Amino acid sequence: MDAVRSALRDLGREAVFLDQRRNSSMRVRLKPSRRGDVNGSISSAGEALNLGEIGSAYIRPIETRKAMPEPDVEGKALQHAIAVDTTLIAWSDLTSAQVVNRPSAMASNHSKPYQASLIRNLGFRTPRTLITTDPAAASQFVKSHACVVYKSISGVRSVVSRLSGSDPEALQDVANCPTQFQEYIDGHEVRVHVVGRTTISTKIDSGASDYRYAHLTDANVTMEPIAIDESLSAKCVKMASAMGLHLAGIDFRVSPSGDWYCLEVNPSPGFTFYEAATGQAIGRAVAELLCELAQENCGDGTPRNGSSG
Amino acid sequence: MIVILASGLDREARDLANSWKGYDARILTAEDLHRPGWAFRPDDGAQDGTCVVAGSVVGAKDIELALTCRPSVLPEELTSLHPEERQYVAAEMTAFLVAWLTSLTCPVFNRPTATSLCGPAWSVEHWRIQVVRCGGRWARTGADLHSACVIGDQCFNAPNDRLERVLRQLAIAANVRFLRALCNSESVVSVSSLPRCDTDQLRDAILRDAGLAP
Repeated sequence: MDAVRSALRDLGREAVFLDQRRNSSMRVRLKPSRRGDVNGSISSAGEALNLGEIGSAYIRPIETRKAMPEPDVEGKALQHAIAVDTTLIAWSDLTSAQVVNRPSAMASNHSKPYQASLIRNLGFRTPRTLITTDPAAASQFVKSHACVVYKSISGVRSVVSRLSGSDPEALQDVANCPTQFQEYIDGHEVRVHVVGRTTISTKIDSGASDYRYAHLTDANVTMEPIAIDESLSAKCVKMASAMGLHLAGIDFRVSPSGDWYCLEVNPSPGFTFYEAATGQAIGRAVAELLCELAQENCGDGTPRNGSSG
Repeated sequence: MIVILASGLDREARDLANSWKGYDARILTAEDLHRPGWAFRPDDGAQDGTCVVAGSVVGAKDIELALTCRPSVLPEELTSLHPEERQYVAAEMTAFLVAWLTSLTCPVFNRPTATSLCGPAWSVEHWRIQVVRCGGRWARTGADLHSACVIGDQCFNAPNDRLERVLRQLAIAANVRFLRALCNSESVVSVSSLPRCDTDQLRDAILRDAGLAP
């Protein structure tokens, strides 16, 4: 968020920042019309923002309780904050302003196999997958692939782990909860950030099963900018658009034979991690996108303010 | 077989299963999700796999109709698990069911979205805005309220033609085949996509819409 705010300042564009941590003191009123517009206002600390004046918005909401300044707050303050967040989520989904990204579009990432089915339907290859509570089925899947990983289905505790050996005792635990196994694709990873109609791609090499957590096992991670094929770039842009996403972090594994497997589409990518390692100006690209979307959204050609929060 | 996805404590779901005994209706509970027997290969589709319903392993292809009578699996009902694991396992089970139910080829009332097992997880504010967009009026309270229902192409108990049009539009906007609303002749007071069908009229309508009854 800070990277985008900073880039907007560099572009000379004014943006309003709505800090979710201050929701307990905000007031939100929405005014829907039969034409479909959702206008209204947000007021906080004596200032009011007219929602109808917002041309584009960049949102990265978190669970209300986690945003509260006092973690154990209960009662009216929490209820009010939840009501504000819920109303703003509704606005974000329904407004005619351009939102990066709408909450309903981001939600597909809450179920990895659900999202994977969307990815396949949009023409990308995905690793073979089994979700099971049956130890025999799990064992059969492990035997039929050279290497297998297991990973969470929901995104909670989402660390990819390689299955070591085929210990039948370990596989008995799958009876407790549906468990997701996937064929492991040897090779390297590529993160493709889709920003509007452009892509910014990063190659990642790591000895860890999940490079995002390589520090937990002292594994190495190297990143470098790469250029991807134009047709693949266009396909990524098309997929993000089909999923309703202006911004996406698409994760691929590329096999030694050059086959690209799409693992996930991250609808709220933490792009500063890649930017810091490679110098790729992803934050600036997001800021420019917000300005462009605000410009497009204004019927009379007058640039509206961007908003982030 | 008809599968009703519900809590084991859901009395209405049990009544529904009893009324549909002739169609082999069974309740799929959270307990079924941590029994051996589930095998889902998303690449191949749910129909080719197996599932556990009411304690028995069945082929998913044998399911003719599914009703999702819950928005998610709750941590509180996973009493056989360690308390520290319940939140995580409930999230995993819910995410799994989103993918599995989406993949079923039989009729599902209502198809899950990424945010809820029974259609869109819209807030009251979101429903309010959608009602207005569909040409209706929203009220926080009202007198003379009664329950109207949209099932597929049919609308039941709408107080007048105007509200029937609003509710049909709302069901389309929400992309659901079952929609229930509390309303009076002027306004809508609440809306739900949870498929609660507590009358024979509604139960028969679901079976007809699913192609299981004439």
